[in-house]
Amino acid sequence: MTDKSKQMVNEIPIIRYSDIQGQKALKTALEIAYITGPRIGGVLISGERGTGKSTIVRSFSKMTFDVLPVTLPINATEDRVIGGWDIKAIMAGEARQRDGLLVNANGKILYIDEVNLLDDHIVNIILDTAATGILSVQRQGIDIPAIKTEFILVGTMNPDEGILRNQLLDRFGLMVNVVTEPDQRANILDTVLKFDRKLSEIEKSNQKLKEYNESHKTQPDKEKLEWARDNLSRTEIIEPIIKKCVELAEKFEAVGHRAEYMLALAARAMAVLDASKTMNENKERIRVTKMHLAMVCRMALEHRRKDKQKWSKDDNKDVSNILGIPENAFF
Amino acid sequence: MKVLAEQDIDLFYQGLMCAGLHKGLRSVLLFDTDFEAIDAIIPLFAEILKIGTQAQLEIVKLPAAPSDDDLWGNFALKPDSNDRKQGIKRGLSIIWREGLLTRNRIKKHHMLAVIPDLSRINLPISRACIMLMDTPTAGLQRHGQEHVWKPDITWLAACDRDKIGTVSEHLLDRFALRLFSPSFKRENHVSNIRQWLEDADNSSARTNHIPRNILSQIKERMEKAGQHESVSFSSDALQRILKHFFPKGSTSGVRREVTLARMSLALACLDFSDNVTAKHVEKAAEIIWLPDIPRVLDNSKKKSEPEHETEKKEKLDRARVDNFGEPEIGIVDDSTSITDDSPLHDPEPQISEPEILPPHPVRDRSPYPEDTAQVEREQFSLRLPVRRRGAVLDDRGVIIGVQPTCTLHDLALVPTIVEAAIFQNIRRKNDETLPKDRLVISPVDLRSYRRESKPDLMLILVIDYTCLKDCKWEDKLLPHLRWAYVNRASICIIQVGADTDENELRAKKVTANTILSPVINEALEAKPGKATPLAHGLDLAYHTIQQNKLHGREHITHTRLVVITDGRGNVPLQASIEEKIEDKRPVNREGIDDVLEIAHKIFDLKKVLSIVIDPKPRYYAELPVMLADAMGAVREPVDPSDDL
Repeated sequence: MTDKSKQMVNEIPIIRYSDIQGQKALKTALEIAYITGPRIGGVLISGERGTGKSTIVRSFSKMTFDVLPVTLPINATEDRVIGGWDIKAIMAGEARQRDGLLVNANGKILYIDEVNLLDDHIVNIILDTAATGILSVQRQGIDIPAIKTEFILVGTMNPDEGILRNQLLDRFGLMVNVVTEPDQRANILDTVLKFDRKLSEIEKSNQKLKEYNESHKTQPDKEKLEWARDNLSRTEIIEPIIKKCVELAEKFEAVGHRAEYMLALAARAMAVLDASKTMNENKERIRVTKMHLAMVCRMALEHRRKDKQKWSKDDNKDVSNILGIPENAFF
Repeated sequence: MKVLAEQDIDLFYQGLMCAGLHKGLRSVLLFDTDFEAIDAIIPLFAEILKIGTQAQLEIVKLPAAPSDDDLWGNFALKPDSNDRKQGIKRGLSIIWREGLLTRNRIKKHHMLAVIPDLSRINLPISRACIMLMDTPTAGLQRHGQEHVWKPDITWLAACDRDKIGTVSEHLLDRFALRLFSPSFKRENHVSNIRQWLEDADNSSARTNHIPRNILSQIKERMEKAGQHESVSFSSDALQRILKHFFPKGSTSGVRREVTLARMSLALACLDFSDNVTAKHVEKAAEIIWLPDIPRVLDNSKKKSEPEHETEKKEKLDRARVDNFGEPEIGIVDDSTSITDDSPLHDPEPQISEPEILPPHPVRDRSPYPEDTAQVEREQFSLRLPVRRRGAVLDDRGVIIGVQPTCTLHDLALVPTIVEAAIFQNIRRKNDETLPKDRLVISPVDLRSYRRESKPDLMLILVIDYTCLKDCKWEDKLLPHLRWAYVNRASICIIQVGADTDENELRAKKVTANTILSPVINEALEAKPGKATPLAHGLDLAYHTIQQNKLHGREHITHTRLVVITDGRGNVPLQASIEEKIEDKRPVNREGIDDVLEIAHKIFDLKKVLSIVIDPKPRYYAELPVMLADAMGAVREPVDPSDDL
């Protein structure tokens, strides 16, 4: 990104993550992806119009990485996605290459708004890279067999405009179906209006804008998430829980074997996220419980079901029966 | 020439002023507004935006069918006049040319992007709108360019309400503010017309469409309102937005509530009020024609407002914009105002038991017509088009971009030359044998046009709904529908004897570009009507086939015509054309004879595969056979229904 663009991006005020009301499932999925890193394979956010999907992703990236996510627009050309020649340099007779967005996103969030509107060919490249952590550039005479790049892939989509193919859906480790939360309408409206007011204040003063942007870094959620990420290795998942992961994947007829892996990984992240409330530094192992597993079931399984059914109350009951815990304890 | 009429337009002006004051309202959709009216509104809105944004304004009227490169920018050739004398090789240079929607990125101007007809825009512009509207950041990642910026764009689009079903709901949702265009009156002052003619070449004269006194008052009021700060919401106002206009359980997102709240806030600023009250909310709802607003007033307010609602409405109607200096609705001093940190819901609301007064006069308008409109667009209308069978060889679809190619078919010459020019220096540096006095094009430079794909096959279904009751027609139809789906064929259903809004003596034609269009499903599920205008149905089919073969740039190469009927057409063609049967005379066999005559004409058409699905009627079972013979069609008998 050019220096001018970087400066401009820093000047754009984004609502603070901690100020956003509701959408707990979405927030949890993003937090799990941050804790596990690229291994989770990304988060797909599917939801109605106007539910604040993009807003939450931007705020989350601003808080966790202090920058806006590396955003891939739906009309991006291949040279910008995977990299290619630096056209300015080429025109001047100098053979210089330029990294694409997939390399730029290394260690950060790669965000695709309206991922279902992206050219299928581009989606394939992105998901292959996300799954393997390796980008191969073979175009316009450039031959780079392997560039290491790992990013947290976050895609949003409005299902009104079509869904992704099964193979692509499976590459996203987690999926969240975002719906309008009627009981949160008042709070959301309040948050938007407060932010509107804040905007009108801070946009008049560079100092206030700077202060506001700095405040993203000091949100309490950030400290907890960093602690959780640092302590993921302290989690312990015992064999019976792993067996439950397999049982759940079988029960919901999840396509492929990625489901049980994702369940186990997400449950570990959930356990450490839970432990981050106290941030206990006593170095004891953090046990992954059935409750943690129950809490990530929907986001790991719903998009992998063979029958493509939406998650229902009966599914919650099935999870509850398999894990032997009361339904109302985790939903 | 028409000018804005001065009556009944105060609400419209105030709507535009709200958009000028609040950046969250700067995507405006005008309903039922013709091109001339938009031309009259643009200068007014531009003046309002200049005050609201405090920035220089650039107006961009977007064409209906631009390509991605037109919108987002591309490399272009630029003649280099200084170097022309030095030889061909330095006669051209390559520059990055900003697109229509990225122009203001560097200049930092505010842009007013105008879409004169939202129902006619093509895919690239629809997708661009999705990317740029209601977002704090925009990104450009194309052709080696990498930019992220804050899109400073106000959108002004127009769309007829009866075409709203053709526009993606996803796109419509991005338009926060919905307004109905004010009525116009025809200019009747000779002096004004003369003045306009004299000023025709002067672009600044365009603001003359707006009455000057109104413009100056708007400006004055906007400037004052822009300086008005610290407006907070009363709990009553918030309750009104949440409870009354969008009932509990509403499943749509919160954008509509937010719009109403922002409009109320802007109106409070225009009134120089410190609080947003329920009155402002009501006024905001009135501006966007939010229907069925329950009038809830508490007793204290009723005492202070003895004026009956209808009287007040009449008074409002009389009010003109030139009364802007004085608030049109007295803002009741609301002691229940909340600060930022107060809870939104009062534990005990200040208003007493609400009294529902008679609702507004019935409004035939709604700011959200997409909620009830019949869906006419294709499914997943914002996705990139599928490649159709003949698309590779076809060079007639509308250009929506360019793409790399390895053949010379439908070559995009300028993009190819530009691509080659980019690499000239580096290639010459690496290979000294290359000629230095001419452009060298390599196969990797080749670019062809990416075109909006058009179907080259068509399925026409003529369905006689009066004969479907006792047969399993769906089973016979399914293979043809499957053929249409697999071959990406366009589809046309001609409804004969269906209970539709069409005159019962006429057949109705429903068309779509793909079988997945919701209108097709609806058409198939129509209920039977009374008459059977089969002759008219076949006539429509005949003309549709002819039109697709002979007219314009249509390029249907093969048509499959499937007719489901028992052949008992009881409406003569002439009666269908005239939409009446003369003196209710008996028609005898006239309808059937007309059917057979048209069937013979269809027989003569080339590249048409005709099929008659024969429901094997109990009476006159020979008619479908005769029809199939006359059409030269394959006859497919249908199994009787199990119910029989």
